[in-house]
Amino acid sequence: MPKFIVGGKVEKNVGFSQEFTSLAMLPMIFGGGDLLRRNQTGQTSPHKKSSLRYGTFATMLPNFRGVNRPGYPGKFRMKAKIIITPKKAVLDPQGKTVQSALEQMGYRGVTGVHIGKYIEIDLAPGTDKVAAEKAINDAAYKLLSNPVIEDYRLEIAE
Amino acid sequence: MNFAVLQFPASNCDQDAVHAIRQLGHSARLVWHKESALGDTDCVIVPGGFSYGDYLRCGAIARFSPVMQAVKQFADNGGLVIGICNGFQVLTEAGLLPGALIRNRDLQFHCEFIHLKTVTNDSPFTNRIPTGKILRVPIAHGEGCYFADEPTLAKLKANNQILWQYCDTSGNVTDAANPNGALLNIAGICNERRNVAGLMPHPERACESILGSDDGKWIFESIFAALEAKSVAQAA
Repeated sequence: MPKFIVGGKVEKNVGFSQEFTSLAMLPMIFGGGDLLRRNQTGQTSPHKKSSLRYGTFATMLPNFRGVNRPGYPGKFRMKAKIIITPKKAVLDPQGKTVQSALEQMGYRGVTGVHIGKYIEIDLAPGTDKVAAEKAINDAAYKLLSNPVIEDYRLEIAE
Repeated sequence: MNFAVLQFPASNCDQDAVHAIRQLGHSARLVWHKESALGDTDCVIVPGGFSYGDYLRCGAIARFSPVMQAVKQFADNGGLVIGICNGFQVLTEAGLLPGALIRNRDLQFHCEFIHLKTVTNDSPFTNRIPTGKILRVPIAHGEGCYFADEPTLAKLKANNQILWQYCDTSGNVTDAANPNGALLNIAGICNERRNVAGLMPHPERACESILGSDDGKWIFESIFAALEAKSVAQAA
């Protein structure tokens, strides 16, 4: 199974995640945005470019994604990871196009490609996992996904 | 009649809608998305564009703006609301209309004139459209493929909620005349109560013959007629 690079990370077994949508944009729109500023600090990291280019090595670099960052000494922060996929009954023309491209390139045995979104939400250290899961489920149903056309999977990682 | 045309960041058909209403002899004003009240309004137009940059999904974020809470209340009280293009997407995201708009089946942005068959005259948005008249109006969208699950489609049909379908120049509803892959060639629908409608084509861009077509005016004339009938009924 090949690895696919998503937003500077290496994702396994999620098919093609075409769009990396950071939730950081939401506080920007509604005015707020503590999470956003922290995130931007991270994105100005001099390793940003190289981390994209050499996905697998990115996590080994210091100062990447909250590791050893000022304010969070030596701590991984909690993250909510949400994978959104189109429902089976919904036309997925992007998936179909990519599938036929793969077939033309000679990749055998591809029986379906489904293109969705991957969203990562940074949570403050010490956030109650159960409460966070409940809140983000609620947000995923109301805003992050559209239940008419999409399904989602949620995972809280520490 | 007073029209309120909503204005979100990156709305881009708001001025067109105001212009169309004014040149058809009625008054229209813009209402900024941060407003929490609509003021004196007979009909709300949710215009086309790319509200909030179409981030996340088309219309997904506009739905939570303060003005949309006011629109929801206005619709709950029976007020007329019409969403055009991105406005249609906003109304489906807000749950004011059933279904969703997804990527065009050929993944291309379509900017062209299409033809519309009016399925029913029984709505405030279609009552003045002459029987058998095929409307020639433009579309301009990348995500206009109407989708709803089977039970919802059955309900739309049973309640006569499909207002417009894409058709060819002689009014045949064919797959070749469908620009985006919309189920049942749906171009526009209304809610069960028939006071909220949405459509992907742009009638506001086709209200003067100098623009290539003035067929769009029939939709606005229908709204004017419905509002006048309503105000006569209220006065009586």
